[in-house]
Formats: sequence, structure tokens, C-alpha cells
Amino acid sequence: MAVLIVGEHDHQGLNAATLCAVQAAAQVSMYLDGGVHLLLTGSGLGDVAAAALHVNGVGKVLCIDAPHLQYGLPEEVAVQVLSVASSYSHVLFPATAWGKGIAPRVAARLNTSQVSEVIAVQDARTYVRPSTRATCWPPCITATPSRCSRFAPPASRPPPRKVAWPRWRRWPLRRRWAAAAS
Amino acid sequence: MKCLVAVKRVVDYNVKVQVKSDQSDVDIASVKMSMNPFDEIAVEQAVRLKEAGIVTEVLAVSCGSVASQDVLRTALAMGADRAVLLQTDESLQPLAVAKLLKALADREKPDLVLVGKQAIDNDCNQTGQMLAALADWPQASFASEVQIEGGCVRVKREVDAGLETVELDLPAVVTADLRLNEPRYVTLPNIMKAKKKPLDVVPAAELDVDIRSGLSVLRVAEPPKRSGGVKLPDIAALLDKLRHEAKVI
Repeated sequence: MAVLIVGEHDHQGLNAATLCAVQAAAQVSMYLDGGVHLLLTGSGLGDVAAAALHVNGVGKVLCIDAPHLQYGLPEEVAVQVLSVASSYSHVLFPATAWGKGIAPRVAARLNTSQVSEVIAVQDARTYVRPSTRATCWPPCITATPSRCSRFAPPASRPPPRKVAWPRWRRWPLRRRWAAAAS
Repeated sequence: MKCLVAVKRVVDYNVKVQVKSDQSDVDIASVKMSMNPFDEIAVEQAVRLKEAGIVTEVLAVSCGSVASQDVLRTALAMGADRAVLLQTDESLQPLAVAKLLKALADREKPDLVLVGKQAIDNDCNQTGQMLAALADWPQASFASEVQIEGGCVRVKREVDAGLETVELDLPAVVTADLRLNEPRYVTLPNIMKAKKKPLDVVPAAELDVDIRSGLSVLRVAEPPKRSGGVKLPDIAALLDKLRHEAKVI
């Protein structure tokens, strides 16, 4: 089966995170047969669709163009993704604020687990992701589905260039009576 | 208006976690546990809405082993009225938690569900959105400001390009980001009062939800060590490294 990427765009071009997802999808599809398809949702998709056709590795571009999809609200986009998801083995999202809003909605409706923030693909069912204070101390977790035949949707994040100090580390140290007393 | 807040018990944010020697998991046997910081923000927001007279009841919920009662007591000490623990000893993935919360939401009929945007142990960032999808409610993730007017909640969201304001019909799910508020200190008198507040323990099996997971963790490893820097003699050597080693030009 093919792999579906849900593309994020500003109605002019695809963003960098989506291009990373395309790379990840190409790696996943090496273990499958069916190629990589890119889904675009929005209103007035002419320019983006034309640009998407030239992205290396994308075999087919699906466009769902409707006025109510203009702002890319997760509730609306998830419905559109679900309408085509049944013919794909994997659904990939860019790990941006936009993708993070939609991916869990799709996964929950498909009754399948989601793998967030994938940084490497080992095979079609095995992924590496950072967890537990991701950037300052990331153990890599490899996850594989033991039950789902359709395993979706891993999100791929752009390769980190600059390591940000996690925001909870910037908190002032607080005395925690609650923790101490319980 | 009833507000449901989900809280998770995680390794305290000050603890430096270690991988077990057999690489099966992170070693959390004897480390300090506390409430997930983002959930703490969600509880604080619910309590503030209650203090503003908008919310009438704040219900704190956690899923997990009996040990999770301590974070529920913390939530009660912060100002929640009631707590429910959906008790199970199995390890829960976000989808299972969302299903359990959905089952509880069907029972309790909350108007607003507040959760932290992600837990600091697995960094999944899924539960709130999954709950919204299962309940077919609107969602606002990464909230940095929440206002309730009439039957709507107006949320300022932190997105990649800046801030986005959305208006949702209630009931809705809002996930708290870091700038939403600063959680209060829990005072000793409030901790004593919290001991008298009701905390129900409901076995998760009673809710008749499939909490099996489709994921398994094969291995947990430390990240590759960062290698030290090198001093290069001239620009030509730098260009050579950029071309052939880093492959960026």
C-alpha cells in the first residue's frame, strides 16, 4: 500500500517540515510497494499543488479544495484525511503545531496508536523517537505495533539544527509542599 | 459549568533520569514523582475559572496505578473539588487514556476539559486531541489564554507562526501550554483540607474500554554522545569538512 503525507502549506508553497515528512515517507515506502502520495487541503490550492508536483519522491498529489478548509482547522482537516486514509498503510504528518493538532484526531478515529516526533525510520514498523525531556536527555525509543495492521501516523520533524533548552527547564525552582507532604 | 482536568504522574522535572542497564526502559524505581507541569497549569486554569465564578465544579482525573493518588491530592490541594482515579496497573498509551477519559466524560458530562499539552515523560502530545476526536468535540491545543463567554470558549493558541485565536463551542477540549499561567504554591492548610475532599478510585475495567496498546518499546538507549570540537588550520580545511564530512555545501 502507498504512504500518505498530509502536507502543511501557506497556500503558496509547502513548508520545510512537510519536506522532511516526504523524506521520511520515502524511507518507509522502501519497505512497501505503492509509493508516496501527498494530500493538500485548503482553499485555492493551485500554486501549492503545482509546487508539490515537483517535490522529489512524491508520486501523486491529492487536493481537497474547499472554502471551509482555508484556515486548516484540525476538526475540518481530520475529516478530510479520514476520508482517504483507508487506502493507505501509513499516514504521516509534519511535527508542527498544525500537524500535532490533526494527527492524534486521525489516529483516534482509526483506533490506532500514533508515534510522535519520529527522528529515524528503521523499517516500515519500527521508528526511533526521542522521549523523556527530549532535547536535553533523549533516550531513543523504538516502537513497533504488535497488533495494528495499519499503523499510523508517525510524524517526522525537521532535523534539529539548534538544540533548544526545554522550556520547563527555565522554570524557577519552586518549593513543592504538595510533593513533600504526600 | 463543570470542568474536568486530567493529570498525569510523571518523573519530577528536576530529576535526571537514567536508562536501565538492560536498555528495557528508563529507571524510575526510586526517583521523585510529581504532577506533570503542563497538567499543573491546566489545574491552575480550572481553579482560576472557578474563582472567577465561571466554573462551578473542578473534577481532577488521573489514570494509572494507586500511586497516582498523590498527584490527585496535589490537584485537590490546588483547588479542585473532587478527584477520580481510573485505576489500572497496565502501562497506558495516550489512546488508551483518551478512551478512558471519554468513558468518564460520558458519565460526568463536563462542559470543558483541560489537559496539559503533553507529558514530560513520553512527550507524546496526543491525549487531548484524541479525546476531542473520540468525543467529537472541538479542540484548542497549546492554549496560552482562555476566556469563556456564553456557550463559547475563546482560546489564544501558540502556533509556529505566532498566536492564533480560535473560538470553540462548548463542550470542548483545551490543552495547556506553558504561558497560560503560573501555577500557585500549594500551602500546608490546603494540603490538610485536600485530605478531606472526595477521591474515588474506579477500576478501569469497570469502564469497559479496550486499553491494549498497538505499540511496544523495543529498546531505550542513551542519545549518541556529542563529540568534541576540532581546531582547523585554514579555510580550505573548513570547506573540505563542510563538503565531505557534514555535506552541507
